[in-house]
Amino acid sequence: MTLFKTAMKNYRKDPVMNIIGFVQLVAVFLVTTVMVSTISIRYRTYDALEDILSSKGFYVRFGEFDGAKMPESGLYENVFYSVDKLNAYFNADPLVAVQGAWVANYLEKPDAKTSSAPLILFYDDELIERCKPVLKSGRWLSKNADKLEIVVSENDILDWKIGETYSLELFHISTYRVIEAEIVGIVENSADIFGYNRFESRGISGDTFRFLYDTHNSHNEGHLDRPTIISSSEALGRLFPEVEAHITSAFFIYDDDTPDEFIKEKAMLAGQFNGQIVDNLDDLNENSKIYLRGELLTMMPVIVILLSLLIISAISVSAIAARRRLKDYAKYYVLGLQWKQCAAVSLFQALTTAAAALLVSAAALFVIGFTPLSDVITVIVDMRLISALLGILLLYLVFSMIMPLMMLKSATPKQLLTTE
Amino acid sequence: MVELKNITKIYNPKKANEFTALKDVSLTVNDGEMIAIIGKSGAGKSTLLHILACIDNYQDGEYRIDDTLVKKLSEKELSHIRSEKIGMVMQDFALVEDFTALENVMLPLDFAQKKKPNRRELALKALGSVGLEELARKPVNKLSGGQKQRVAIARAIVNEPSLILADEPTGALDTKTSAEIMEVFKKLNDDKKTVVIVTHDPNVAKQCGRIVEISDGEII
Repeated sequence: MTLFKTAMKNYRKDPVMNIIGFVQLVAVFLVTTVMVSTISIRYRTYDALEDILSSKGFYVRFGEFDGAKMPESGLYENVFYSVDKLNAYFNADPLVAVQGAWVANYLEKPDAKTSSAPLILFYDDELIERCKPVLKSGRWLSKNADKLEIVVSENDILDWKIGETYSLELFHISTYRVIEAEIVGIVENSADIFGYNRFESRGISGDTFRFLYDTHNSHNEGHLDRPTIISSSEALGRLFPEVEAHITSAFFIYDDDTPDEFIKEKAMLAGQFNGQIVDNLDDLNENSKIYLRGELLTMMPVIVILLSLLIISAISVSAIAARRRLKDYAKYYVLGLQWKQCAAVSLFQALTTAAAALLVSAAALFVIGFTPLSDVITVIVDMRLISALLGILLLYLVFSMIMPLMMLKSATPKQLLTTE
Repeated sequence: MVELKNITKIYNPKKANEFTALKDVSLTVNDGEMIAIIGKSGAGKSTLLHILACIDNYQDGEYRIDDTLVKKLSEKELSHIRSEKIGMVMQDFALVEDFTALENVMLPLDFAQKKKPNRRELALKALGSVGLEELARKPVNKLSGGQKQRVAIARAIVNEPSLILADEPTGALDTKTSAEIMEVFKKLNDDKKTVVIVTHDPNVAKQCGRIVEISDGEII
């Protein structure tokens, strides 16, 4: 406690140096947060599916038609309307799937050349857990709700509002059903929506995880971005069991010890089975990693140079400040402190400076969230960011402790006291 | 009692600029003594004082303080001696300039391994004993040279050490203030404190009970 109090008192000394050091640390933390978030944005959608992509199996995007000709019998069967049936057919477990339905609510933009029906995506519980898009307002779907809850994309024309009831006109061959759904959340513009594949985002040298998502943008000039509705397949089945929602895309996952030949066979079957796109998970994962590495390599030089400069300058200022405090540490030594306790005083001072800089950085980022800058700066607080900040903090603290110790050990108190 | 036996101190040993500051120096300072160590600049008197203050080391010889062999002490034990057995006064005062007089005087109490209760009162009492109680809350960089040296003395005595070491305590002061400071040291000595003063001022030296002269690192 004495050492901490002494460190606090030391702030009175050299206020200009203290302020420069503090401002530099704030800059380091802000730049680190923005840079790491830039990396995390690229990884976020991959991270959500990493374990699935690392598994054995394949991803299928099914074509939109009513059934499949069974290879064995040659008969058409509506296996696409039952997750369990489809799952059993491909001997896969577990299955993560997106379901869809045909929607008759055609929407027209007065000056648009085309009209568009909303895209409806029913996520199973596993996907709800993993792939919630970032919301602009409202909340995510709740479990066991007594009415069908939907989250909708931000849309300039429809101007959907939270709390509104939307009548979904669903049809399927002979059935036509209107179901009421409550809007509980609005997806942020630029959010990545899983299951909303845009075919132009297919990789040239193979699909990456980016193909599994699309970035929603309601402000595309002259383009009516397809309004998207997301709901829960569990809730649909529970509240409207008569509605048939078909599976639009799914991951078929197999045990690690499943022979590759067996999986290949099932993947080929999926292709014949109305699988518009079939991607082997190994390839999808490898391509995704190559894509992410490429993104990182593009960003790394700027990140490394910028951060190195900032960290080196922050540590240099800390070293200069420590050097200027050496005479005081020599006085403390004469009065009964040990060198390591003097280093602890320096450490406490660095620690409080760093803690204050972290708080101010967090406050600055919070304030930026209310300014136009928030359109270009996205902050993602995750383990990657926490580790990066802790790493920098540790580096700063270690240097703050080691530097005075090295300087103190290389000189006698007498030399330090007589140094101008 | 303080006892030095055959102390040798060499700066930059085995280097081109090797310099022997003290050669086989032996000295005994009895409890309650007030001695002056005099000598020319570079004679080794400050080095001797710093060894006595346990803030400098030496190559050969033995230094005992109250029968404790200093060389065998750990860093923690040494800091304990500096904090509680020795009070040090420097020529340039060695005060923490941005702290108040009271905060400076409280430092040895704060750094002591055994914390005393009422540290603030003890510091104020020490400042009172050098006539500076009313300036306790003034930053020391606002005080005159004489006042600063009094603060330094208050800081040196606040832990009630048995040994007061002073390195040219009047070197930066005018004659009148020097005389006042010497009165403070004499009063401390009257209170049974052992006082060792390094000085090149004969007027200061002659006010001490014993004078030890050092020349070229040797006591003569």
